[in-house]
Amino acid sequence: MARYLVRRLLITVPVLLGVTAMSYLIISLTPGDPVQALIDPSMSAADVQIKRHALGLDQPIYVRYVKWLGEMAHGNLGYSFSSGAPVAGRITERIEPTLTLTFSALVLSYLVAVPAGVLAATRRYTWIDYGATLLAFLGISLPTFFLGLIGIYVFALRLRWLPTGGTTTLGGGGFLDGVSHLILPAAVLAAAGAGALTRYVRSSMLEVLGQEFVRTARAKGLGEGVVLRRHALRNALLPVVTLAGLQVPALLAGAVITEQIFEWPGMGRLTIEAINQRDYPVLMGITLAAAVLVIVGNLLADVTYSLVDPRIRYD
Amino acid sequence: MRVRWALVLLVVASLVVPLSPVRAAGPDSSFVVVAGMWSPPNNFNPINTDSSYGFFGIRFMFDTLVAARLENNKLVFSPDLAQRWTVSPDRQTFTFTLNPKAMWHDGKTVTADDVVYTVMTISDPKTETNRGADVAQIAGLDVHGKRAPGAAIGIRAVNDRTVEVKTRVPVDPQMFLELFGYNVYILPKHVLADTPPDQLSKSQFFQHPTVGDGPYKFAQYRTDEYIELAANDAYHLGAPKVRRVFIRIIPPASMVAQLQRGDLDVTAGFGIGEVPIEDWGTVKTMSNVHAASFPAPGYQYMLFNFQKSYLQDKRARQAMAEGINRQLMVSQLLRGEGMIADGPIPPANPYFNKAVKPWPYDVAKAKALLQEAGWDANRTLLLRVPVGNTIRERSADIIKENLAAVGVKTDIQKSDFPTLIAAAKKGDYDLMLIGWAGPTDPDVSSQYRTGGQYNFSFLSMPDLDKLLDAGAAASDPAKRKEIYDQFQAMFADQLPVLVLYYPNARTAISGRMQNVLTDPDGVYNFYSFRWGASGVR
Amino acid sequence: MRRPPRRARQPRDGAGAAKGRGVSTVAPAVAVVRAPRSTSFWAIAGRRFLRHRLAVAGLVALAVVGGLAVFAPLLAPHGPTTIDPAQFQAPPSGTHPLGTDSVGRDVLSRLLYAGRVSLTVGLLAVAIYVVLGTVIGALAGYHGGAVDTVLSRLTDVVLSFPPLIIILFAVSIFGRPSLANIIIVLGALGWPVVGRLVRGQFLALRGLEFVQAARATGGSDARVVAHHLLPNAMAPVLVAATFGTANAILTEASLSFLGLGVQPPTPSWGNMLTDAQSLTVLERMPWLWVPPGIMILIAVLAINFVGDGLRDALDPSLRL
Repeated sequence: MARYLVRRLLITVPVLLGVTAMSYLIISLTPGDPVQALIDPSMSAADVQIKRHALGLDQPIYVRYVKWLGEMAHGNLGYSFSSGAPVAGRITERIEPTLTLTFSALVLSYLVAVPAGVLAATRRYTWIDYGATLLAFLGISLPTFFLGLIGIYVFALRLRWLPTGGTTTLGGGGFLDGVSHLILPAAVLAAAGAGALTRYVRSSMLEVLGQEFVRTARAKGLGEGVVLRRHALRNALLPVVTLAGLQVPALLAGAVITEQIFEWPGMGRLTIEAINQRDYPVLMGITLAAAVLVIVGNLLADVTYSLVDPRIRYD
Repeated sequence: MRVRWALVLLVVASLVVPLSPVRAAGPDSSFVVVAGMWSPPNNFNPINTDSSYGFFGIRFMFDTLVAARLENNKLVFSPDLAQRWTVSPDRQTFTFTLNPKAMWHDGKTVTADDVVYTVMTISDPKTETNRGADVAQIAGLDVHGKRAPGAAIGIRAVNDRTVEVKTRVPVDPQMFLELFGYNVYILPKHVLADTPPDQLSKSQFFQHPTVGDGPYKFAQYRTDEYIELAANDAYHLGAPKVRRVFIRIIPPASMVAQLQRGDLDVTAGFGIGEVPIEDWGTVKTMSNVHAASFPAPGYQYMLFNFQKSYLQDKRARQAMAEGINRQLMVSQLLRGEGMIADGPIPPANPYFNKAVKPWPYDVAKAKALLQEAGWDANRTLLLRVPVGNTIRERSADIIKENLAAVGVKTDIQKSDFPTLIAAAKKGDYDLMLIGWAGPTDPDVSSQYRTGGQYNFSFLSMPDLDKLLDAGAAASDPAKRKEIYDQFQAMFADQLPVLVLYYPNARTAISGRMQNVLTDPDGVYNFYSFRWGASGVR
Repeated sequence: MRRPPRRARQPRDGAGAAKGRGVSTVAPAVAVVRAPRSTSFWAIAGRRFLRHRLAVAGLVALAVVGGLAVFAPLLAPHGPTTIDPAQFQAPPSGTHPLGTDSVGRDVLSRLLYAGRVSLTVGLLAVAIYVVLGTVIGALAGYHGGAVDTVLSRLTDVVLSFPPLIIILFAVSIFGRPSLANIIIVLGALGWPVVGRLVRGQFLALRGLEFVQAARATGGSDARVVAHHLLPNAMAPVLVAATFGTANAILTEASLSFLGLGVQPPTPSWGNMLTDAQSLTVLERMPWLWVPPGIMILIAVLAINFVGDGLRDALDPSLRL
């Protein structure tokens, strides 16, 4: 296991290098540059030249990339072109809200999907199965941006149970206030994930239900409830739990739209802003952070998989 | 089993709790006002923020030498940091006397040295700034507002309270007061002097500008959520009545809901925080909200790429002016909240030429003109449109249909703004939609003069250049008016660009607010220290 | 997805797998109708599929939606971009059965034409990435060793980007988010999922007796891949492709929301729905959002049901 982990971590290095090189290329190939796009009657032509020089835009791409790599090796992600703030700080202050949102959405989607999937599997081809399937796919089938607007209309404007957006009431708020701001965006984000997850749980459960040890348990005369809880459920849920790690990139992407609609100050909005402003250092920081998150997520998935399933050995 | 599940839940809960935003302070019972704008500020650097969003926040915290307001189509200046000012008879020397009560938020007095420091910093070739054009009139600086090392420049502190500024040549005082007196925010020298100019843009101070001289003090900025400001009781023009102001970042679609719920007191205004036009009718019917709309200085226009020979024929451009139903855009897309004009000087500007009438919508005439110009009906023009302004995006669809009806084929290409500008610089377009809002001063050389910084259409009309140069050089307002009248007449005939419409500024103000001045720049936060609010939030 | 290699699993119907490979993979349902009592793999799958009522309903719905899109020029009462200057955001009426949109265009006509765009995006993008993913996955799975390592790491790199963000970049690079570019970008970035599926199947199948037998009897690599491995790996790919199609339709809608979707005035369900992104419209102008919303819902639901049915029929243990 230890050897496997070391090897996996070593492989991460070239993967990360690949990711950064590719991102740098992609970002620099994107038409438009951060200074050119600034249109301000108060800005003189000399101001533009000074800015280009200060941001290093007058240098060739490979020089900029090598410089960036050098700085990164020393733990410096540079300064945002647009705000002048250190990139590392800009990203860390955004990661927390994004993690809060995606993690809550993840938990929420599991809370819905596991019972729904299990029910669908145990009552296969009954109206319960169809109902669960229908609901699951309804969640996936509406674009997030529209589901969000409907959520705001119903729960914030008509019923007034929940706020329209933001993470706290202005200048105030406690734990419950934070939760009330979290519910709507987390639910909207969870909707899509829960749908797919329900199907996954259902398949997993179906597979386990067909296996011998379940049949043996039944043959022993154990009640159906006990068989389900003690034998089938535990085995069926193990692979499902490991799926959480793999959902990280999908959730991050989903959050782009959700954060936009609910004034949620997370990575998704930072990304959109950075793209719109061609804020290269911030964009590089984001891709790096995302790549690390995804790789860690993958690794965790593999490790938990081997921990929960003794048949799997890594070496 | 149960116990274990409970444990799992507990673990989950403990993970969620510390991540959730928690703040200790409860809501203040004193007067609190919430302003809403669409996007976050990029920073609070008064000489280097690249957006109107940044300036909306800065204007609460920093002051300029003079204040200005458009009244009856004339820009009227009033005292701010400067208590009074004089202009020499040769229109070349401006003397500002600072208000002795003007203080920085840390208790230090605002001095003439601060003003000199600000100009020295902006004109330093090592400083990242976007205010160069605002100081470019000062003697000793080049036309871009930069100074050579060691060069003497035309600004000096006569004493602690008096600043004397000399310009390179005689200038229209109105122009200078607007650009220098009103656009340049004064920086605190005692805080920033130790930071080298090339490090200034990265200074932490501009993320947390705790030392300003405006009516409100910086309290905190929760990135992308809201800016919190606290009343500055020592403000030299009077202590603000509203104790706290929150500037909240709100997506356009949510604004109407927040107004209805009473979560929002005032929208930030023209181009940075307006209720979407779909929701404007809803806002008008709200009993607790005052919906104000008024002519604004910004306009949307269509560029012709002058590198293309077929667009150099003025008849082709005139035909498009006649073939595009601009009235439909105003009446339907803008719901009547706007007007049509054929020049780059807004109808609400003192220099606007009333005698110039816009081209009427006339399909038959447009077709005839195109035929006369020998237009090739098989040619397809590339119409580039930036995303982000829904009305403008819709107007592109109308333009495409209208032009098709008179025999001009177009292909719409939407892209984000940086891509659009990159394409424009390469000349990779035929037609392009873009918006503009500039100062009240009528000098529009940067857009329409040959080689101008924002001349994206490779436009070069020597006759137009002559008028623009004459207008910028003249220091006598009456003479300038004459020149710009001619300029506008020529503009409407030549159509270097087609101005599509001037949208009104629309502002929603909560009924509990008092003394909110609606201004041509939107509500902008003019005289925010006089704002009042009744009731407790 | 990174998962440990699948435990070697016998094809669902050992004899059938070999027999069934000649049967068309395109229309399993048809095969069933012709030979209801057949015991071939595809026939059994077809019968299983028909038992999945939602899947059958989805197939029917999909046929209807597809038909409406194909025959849009015949069915639409107006041109999809024709502006009625007197009717902006007008409610449904005789001339405009579903009302008009924010630029005075007939909603019904746009809805029908939009189906063409949205379905094209979904189908073509997925077609591209199925081909790409199958080739890459097959190379990695068949050769193993260094080829596998390199290709798997490449897959890791592509998967390391949050999908929507990388799509945003890619669309910006082209500078022109046209229909073709959106399809290419979605296609170029979607292959890793298929790649991993195919690789996993190949790895699992490679060691099985019938494959080794084919090799031992002198079958060339190409022949073994084409006749033995690929047909058996296709079931999960087909399922992944169905889900992918639904996903691509939604991604186009998201891109429209961010302003980088299909170019106007060409309608797509996504940009029609984006145009209705206002609470006032939501409350008072249902004709602007209900039709495109329902069309997306039906199309995505139908495709997902079909995918679900295919999975249950072909490989119930497949977790997608």
